[in-house]
Amino acid sequence: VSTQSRDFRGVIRPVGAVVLGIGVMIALCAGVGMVWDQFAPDPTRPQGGAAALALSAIIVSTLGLAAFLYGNRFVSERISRREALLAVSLIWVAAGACGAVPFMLGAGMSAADAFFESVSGLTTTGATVIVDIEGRLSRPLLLWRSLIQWLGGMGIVVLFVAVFPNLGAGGKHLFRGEVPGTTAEGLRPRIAETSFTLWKLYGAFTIIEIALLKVLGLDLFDAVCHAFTTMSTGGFSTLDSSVGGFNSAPVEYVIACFMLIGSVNYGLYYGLLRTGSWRTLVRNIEFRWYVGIVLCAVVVLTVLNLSVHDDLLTSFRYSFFMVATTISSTGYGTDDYSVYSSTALTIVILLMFVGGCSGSTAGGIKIERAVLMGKQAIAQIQKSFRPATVQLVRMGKVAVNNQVLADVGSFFLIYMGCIGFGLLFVTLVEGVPVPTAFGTMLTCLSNMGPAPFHVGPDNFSTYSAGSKLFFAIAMLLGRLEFFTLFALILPGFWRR
Amino acid sequence: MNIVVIGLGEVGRHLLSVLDKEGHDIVAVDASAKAVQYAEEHYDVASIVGYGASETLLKIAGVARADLVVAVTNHDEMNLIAALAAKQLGAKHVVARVQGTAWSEWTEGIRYGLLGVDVVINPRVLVAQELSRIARSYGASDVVDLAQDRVELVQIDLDESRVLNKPLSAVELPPHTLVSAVVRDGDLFVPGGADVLVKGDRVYLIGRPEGVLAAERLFSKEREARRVCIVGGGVVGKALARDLLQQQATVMMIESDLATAEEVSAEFQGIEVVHGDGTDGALLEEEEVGTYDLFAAVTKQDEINLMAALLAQRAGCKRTATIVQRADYTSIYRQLGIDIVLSPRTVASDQILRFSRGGGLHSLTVLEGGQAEVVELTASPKCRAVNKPLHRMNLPRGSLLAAIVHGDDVIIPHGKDVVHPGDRVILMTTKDARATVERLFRPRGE
Repeated sequence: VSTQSRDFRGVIRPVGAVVLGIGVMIALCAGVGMVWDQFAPDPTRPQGGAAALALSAIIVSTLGLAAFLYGNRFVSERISRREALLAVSLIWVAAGACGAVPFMLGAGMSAADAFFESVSGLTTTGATVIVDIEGRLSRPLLLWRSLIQWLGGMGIVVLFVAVFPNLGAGGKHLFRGEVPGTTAEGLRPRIAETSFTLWKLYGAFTIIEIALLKVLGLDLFDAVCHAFTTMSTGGFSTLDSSVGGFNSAPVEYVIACFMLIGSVNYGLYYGLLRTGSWRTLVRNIEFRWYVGIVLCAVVVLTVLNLSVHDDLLTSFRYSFFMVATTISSTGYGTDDYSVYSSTALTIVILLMFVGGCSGSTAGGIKIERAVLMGKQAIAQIQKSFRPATVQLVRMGKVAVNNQVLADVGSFFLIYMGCIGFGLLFVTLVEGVPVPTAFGTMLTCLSNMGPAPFHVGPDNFSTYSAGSKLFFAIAMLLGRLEFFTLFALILPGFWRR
Repeated sequence: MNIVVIGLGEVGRHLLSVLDKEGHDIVAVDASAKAVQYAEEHYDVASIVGYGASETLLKIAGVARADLVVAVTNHDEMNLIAALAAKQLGAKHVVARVQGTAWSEWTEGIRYGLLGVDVVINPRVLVAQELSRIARSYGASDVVDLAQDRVELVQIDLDESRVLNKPLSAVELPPHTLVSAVVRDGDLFVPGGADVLVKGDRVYLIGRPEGVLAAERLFSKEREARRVCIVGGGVVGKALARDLLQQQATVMMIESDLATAEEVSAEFQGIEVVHGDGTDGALLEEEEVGTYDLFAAVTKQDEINLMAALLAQRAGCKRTATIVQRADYTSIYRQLGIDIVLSPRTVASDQILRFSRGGGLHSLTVLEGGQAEVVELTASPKCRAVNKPLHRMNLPRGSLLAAIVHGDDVIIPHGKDVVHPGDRVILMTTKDARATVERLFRPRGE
């Protein structure tokens, strides 16, 4: 066996291009935020901040441009699978690091805090280390905090593939590195068009939500920021008290609905638009399960929460929002689940585990995987008393092949393994109770945001710098669904 | 353009690689999950595993919206049925490939509108025709007929010849001919007057057939093949034999299967059929293949073709030709000293590719594995290139206007010649210049 290492310099250019793009986005936030402060000032928020963002933009763009130009010398004809996995991993880490620069310069945060906040945004987790959001973050910075979440929602690599259509099959490998599974692919024959279609749908939903929130009386700035973080199912808010701070039932219902919309496979929306019939949507097995789970959870939670809330309507309002924010792994808060009954809290945690549909912006195990595992288990049990029967696992009419089932099984194993390892790490390093450690790992791996069983405020500011880095890695693992990042750990990846 | 490719064998894959690079929306279909996975892995295409002629599958593949459906599986009947079904479902253009014996009675190689399929291609017959054209030529290793045989493109590998080591402008080419491209060390370029040809170069000559024949004498010492030995009595062998007999050439065929040998003998009069193994050196010596002008090994098996041709070379045969199923092998065969190497797969995909270009394109020939191509098209009245002299046409570097067919007249153009609306033009262009050339000849605003 040769131990010669591979030449991976071909990935420098795409990573540089994305970093450059991040720089441009920061500059955009600086400009828009400044103009906004100029023409529609909001004295309740900290002023300025545009200069810090502009400086960040210059730093990040310069780095990106330098990497891009340097990488131009090592352009590979076609990006291979290996290169794609490495590129996607590097893009996410680099984007997280670059996204942290404005937080360091603009809000004086430490490197670990800024990196945590940036990665939490990018991975659409929405966990925060900032205690006084309203008092510390200026508008340009808040805009950046929301935008980075929006970019991470549909995926920066998907955006990259859409913008650079000449990647050919290499684009497909990149796309798969970020969006594993088979689901969102194949909207259009070419991967660049698929990516572009996804971003168009995503953008359209965002614009509709902005308009609705504006109509319901939100300030345009809040509407934009919340639409960005709703559609991405991220959960960053411009208020310390999250969406609950608006204290408006209609706003909560609209946001809840868009969170639910965001956790459905975007391929189904495309099918709906192209064929003009609801059949593709309604006949989709995963979608049916999703609707079923949401309905059941809402009903049960509404009833259980009657112990916390006075009347049925109030209980429904908060329970509906809770189900939407949890299954979509968004993490906005309107209700305090720490006062819930144990059963209600268990439902919330189970929803966090499952997450939304595959091919959506939601995190978690994904309903498709959960359903497949269930069906596989039933098939195996049947085999225990009728070993000769052919037991195919079906999703609708289509038989799912064994490769996919093995994939799902490994995913679940890795997921649980990560939670187990995380429990050991967090309890050892931070000395927190087991439920608290479990809550943090679950929220990071499923890109949720708030951590159940937290001690003190629902915030990550109290953890050490090392743990924050650890949580950031957990969030990246969850967002990229493990395989991409873990591939880099195996020695065979680097060997020739 | 929306394109559906059914069958991912050699031809299917080659088509995918070219069409993918050209930026089409492609759906690839094959019954083998392995073949589909290969396509998924290497090309930016959507893919479906399934039986290519199934109506449900064709609907899923979106043939109704397809501009071009290509059926190139290994089963002729499947290809025809798939193409027919696709046509019925609304595909704009359908092409089927066939290769079976039953179709070998054709003399055209391409049939239009057969059974309702727009184009049916038999690459084996096409390859046989190309071989017979080469046999007729003076030392060419490839011959392509353009503009209904009024223009000819030939490929010649330069050995010793009078044209070497002096500037091209000092070479007195026969009238109505041009040196359109030179390949040196694998790289193709369009030569200028100052370029010098050296031994080992491969040149592409283009012009009127009579001029090209005269030019061949200048560039090569070889002569027309009057005596041809064919190994293999399959579709290619029979089609080649028929063409050569029509040219009054002397043909000997070596076929290892007795029944086939007898069948060929019965079908063709005036052909000498030898029942034996083409890779048997003693047999080749005994039959004195060294005295033949051309030795063509055209069995279905690449290895047999190669070995037979090499043995014939050793027996003293000056020009050897083989067909090769695996297009990848072509350059290796050449390196081993086989003069003429043709691949039915390449011929088939060249034919099919022109449909993907649409708009006024009559033929397309891909040179040197895609480094350049020769296109034949009708100049649209609305395009930028018409009604102005050639020197003001702004043709990009690496391209060449090789011929203008104006009515019955074939002009090998110079700076002052003009392309009139509706003329057929033959252009040679390198890969890099292609897009610019296409813009010149496409109607404005398209």
